[in-house]
Amino acid sequence: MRSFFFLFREFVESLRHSRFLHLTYGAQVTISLLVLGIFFVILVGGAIAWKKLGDQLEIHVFLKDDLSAKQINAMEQDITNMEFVKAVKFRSKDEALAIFSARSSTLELNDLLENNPLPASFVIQASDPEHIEDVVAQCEKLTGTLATRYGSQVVEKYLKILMILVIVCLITISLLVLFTYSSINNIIALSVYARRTEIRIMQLVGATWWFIRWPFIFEGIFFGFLGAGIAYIIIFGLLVSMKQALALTDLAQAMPSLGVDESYLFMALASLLVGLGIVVGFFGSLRTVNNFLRRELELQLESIKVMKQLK
Amino acid sequence: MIKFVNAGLTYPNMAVGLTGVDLHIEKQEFAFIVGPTGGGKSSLLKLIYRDTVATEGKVIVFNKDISSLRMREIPYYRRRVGVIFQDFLLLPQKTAFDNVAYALHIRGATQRQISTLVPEVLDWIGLSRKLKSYPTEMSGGEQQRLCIARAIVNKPDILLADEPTGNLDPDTSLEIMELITRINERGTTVLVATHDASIVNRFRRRTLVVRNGELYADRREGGYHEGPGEGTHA
Repeated sequence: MRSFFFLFREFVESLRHSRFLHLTYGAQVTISLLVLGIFFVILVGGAIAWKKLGDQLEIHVFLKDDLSAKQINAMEQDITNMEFVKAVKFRSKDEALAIFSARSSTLELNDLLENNPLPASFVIQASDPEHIEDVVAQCEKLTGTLATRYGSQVVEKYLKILMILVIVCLITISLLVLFTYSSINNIIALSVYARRTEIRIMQLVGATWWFIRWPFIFEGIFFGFLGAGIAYIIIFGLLVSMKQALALTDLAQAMPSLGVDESYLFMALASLLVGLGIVVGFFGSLRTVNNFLRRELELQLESIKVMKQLK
Repeated sequence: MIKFVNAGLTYPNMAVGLTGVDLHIEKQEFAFIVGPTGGGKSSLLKLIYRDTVATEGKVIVFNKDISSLRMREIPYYRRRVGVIFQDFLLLPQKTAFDNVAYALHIRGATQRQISTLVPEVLDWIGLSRKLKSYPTEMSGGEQQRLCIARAIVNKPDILLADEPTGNLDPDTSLEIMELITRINERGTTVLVATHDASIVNRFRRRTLVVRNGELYADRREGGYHEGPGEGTHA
């Protein structure tokens, strides 16, 4: 514990002595995590929108009028057993009329009550929007089917765009994780190089590898955490400003329909940035210091190889 | 205490650092290692403080073949071997006190031990008034004293000095050598690598002449004369 406090003090001292190096370090990690965070928000927004739109893609299977209750039950059973079907709901002719009347305020329900032209139907939710057409094709083969109707092509087009967006975001995030890791490696390598004499002295007076590693690991964790904090504050500020700007437009009404839970999104964003910053900071520093320290080991291994050659 | 058995060192680029060295240094002994630059003096010291491993034969210190030490054992071994260099290797951003305290922190000393031991050692080597000075504010001789203080604060069994007077004027060199002699008188085994014949001849201690990677001469009575025909085979 004594050594821990000493090493922590050494780390604070090192921050004071190499200000420019550490400023560059902090800025690089912050920018990497900021870009990563922005892509994460786009990814989450895209994924939620994709899911919501997918859920809204219902298949309506309209039934012939002459079907008996037994036939309808059998048909419902057949649809339920189909692959990629999440839920099936029967909508009677009366229910269809009630819904239609509610939507068409200009029509008087009573005018149509004597002769209801609307067919009964099954409203099906597919488990995967990708396989809607498969489900439709199977439903069309059923004998009681009058007609089918499902999500418009526009919605499908949106889904495709959103899917591409999600994939692009995932790839970019993966690349940014690698970039952040390599940034931390490079900066710690500079820090190690700047303190190579100190490391040499530490080795000569008998410091263990962990004793030498800790100040650099503190550095990695500290800048990972700091970068994550700053990136989070900036993204949070941007989202809040965007929301306020959108509130003045018609888009505000469209946003709630996506059902994005903001507190959940911010929590996930903070966890991702802080977790990633700390983990990448820890492992990035550890790897870089180890590489530096291993040179001594490698020299000794080389000597052992020479020893074997001489024998 | 230190034993070389037909020890040799060939560097990875196949340059020969040392070859066929047989040597025995007793506990509490003082010996000079002399010879021309590139003759193998530093290689010999490097083998003792385990900066590298012998590619031939054995180097036995504290009754153990140190080439068999595991990486994690080396730091603990080095705490028993103090090393000082010509270029001091001090931390410029730390005061004299902190430079010495550093070696104690590494072995996990308490704050109380540090605040007792550091002034004691600095007083012993004559730097009691420089506790708060930075190395850049000190003369070459004072910096070397500070380096010695750091090397001995952990009370090592062996003190290795690689050209400790290389950067110092003759008077300061003598002061440093007298200090190293006092350390030896306290019971520490001391090996000093130098090419300064005047120092070797003045102190008249056992002298090992290393030339072209070989132990060229081992003079118990001491003494050294620079020149190509110096010494006889050991």
